[in-house]
Amino acid sequence: MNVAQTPKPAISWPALLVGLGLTLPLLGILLSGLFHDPHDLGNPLEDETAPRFTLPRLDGQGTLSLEQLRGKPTIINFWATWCQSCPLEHPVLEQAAREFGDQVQFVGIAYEDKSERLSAWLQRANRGRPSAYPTLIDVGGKVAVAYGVYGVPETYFVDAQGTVKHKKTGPFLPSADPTADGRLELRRILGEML
Amino acid sequence: MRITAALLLTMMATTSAWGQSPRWANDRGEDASAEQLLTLGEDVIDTIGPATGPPLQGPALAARTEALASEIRCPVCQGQSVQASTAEAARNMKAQIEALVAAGYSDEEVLRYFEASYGEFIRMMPRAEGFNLLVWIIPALALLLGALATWRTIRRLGVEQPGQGSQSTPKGQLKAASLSTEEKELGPWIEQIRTELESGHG
Repeated sequence: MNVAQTPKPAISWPALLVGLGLTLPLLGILLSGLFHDPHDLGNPLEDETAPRFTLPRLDGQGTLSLEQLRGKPTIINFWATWCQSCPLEHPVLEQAAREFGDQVQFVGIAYEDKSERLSAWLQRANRGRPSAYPTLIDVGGKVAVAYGVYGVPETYFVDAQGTVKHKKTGPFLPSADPTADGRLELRRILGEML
Repeated sequence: MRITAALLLTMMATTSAWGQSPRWANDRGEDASAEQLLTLGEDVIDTIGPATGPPLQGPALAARTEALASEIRCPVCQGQSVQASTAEAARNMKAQIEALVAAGYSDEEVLRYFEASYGEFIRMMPRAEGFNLLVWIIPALALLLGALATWRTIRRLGVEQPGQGSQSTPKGQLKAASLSTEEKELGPWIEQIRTELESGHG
């Protein structure tokens, strides 16, 4: 019995190779995007000199500059009252500032916020006690731009010489899980800086 | 259901347009005076050095500020430039662009200032160098190769057509052979139908 043989489709190997050569790199770029956290922009300021600033204090006691904070590691926390996770992070930073206050300096910089709202919020959050660290007002957001802030909270760790050593995007949140506990993470980073 | 509808209505009422920042996101910070807006940050000279160009003002300043703001990404928005966004962060950044241009900084220096803190992400269009070059080269190469392939195909079809037609291929010859066999077998029947139709039968 004769079986009709269907001719095999001709494959143009050079064309196939060229096609793969063009599509595979593009697929690679697209696939790498799937495993990239769009919120993680890295920290271009790492190991660079921390941008200088002089900002008015929320408590009305004049201004505070980065120059005045030299000599001790400085933790700069950008935050706002409208930020949802900032109330959860605030006690962690307050606690750390009280505990490590003699070795490191904590500074809060208010991001897109108003003085009255900030004062009332801090009064409530600290239950009438004075804050463990000063909050500064960044009118016009120049300092936030200088540090590359694109959301709050963001925390920058500057060593005693004024070099940015680390950036934390998002809050330090307390957790019962030691691997996710922001208090332990903050202690670990502070330990590395001291 | 009612809660969902209420939430949707609230979102629609407070959002200027889908994908843009909600209205409550604007005007959150302290109002800056015109002087504060035009004062450069202390870090500017440390980052990009002193301005080398002449100070700018008036329509030329506005035009260059807008052009540069279109090239700089709003970091808190979804794919929008500082120029296109209404978010407070974008307006603050645009004020800084204006202050830098007014002080005499060049376009490249302004871009470099923002890039120093945000990285290349801040540029709406990445630099055409290194790995980024693939984004420019691959589509152009694909277009070129596609055009070449189309030209070759058209040229081959043009060569085959005169006098040879589809019969030049074995498949075409087979089709022609089968048609002539059908014509031979059906010919008398077709002729009979035609005769009957002409004589008014059927």
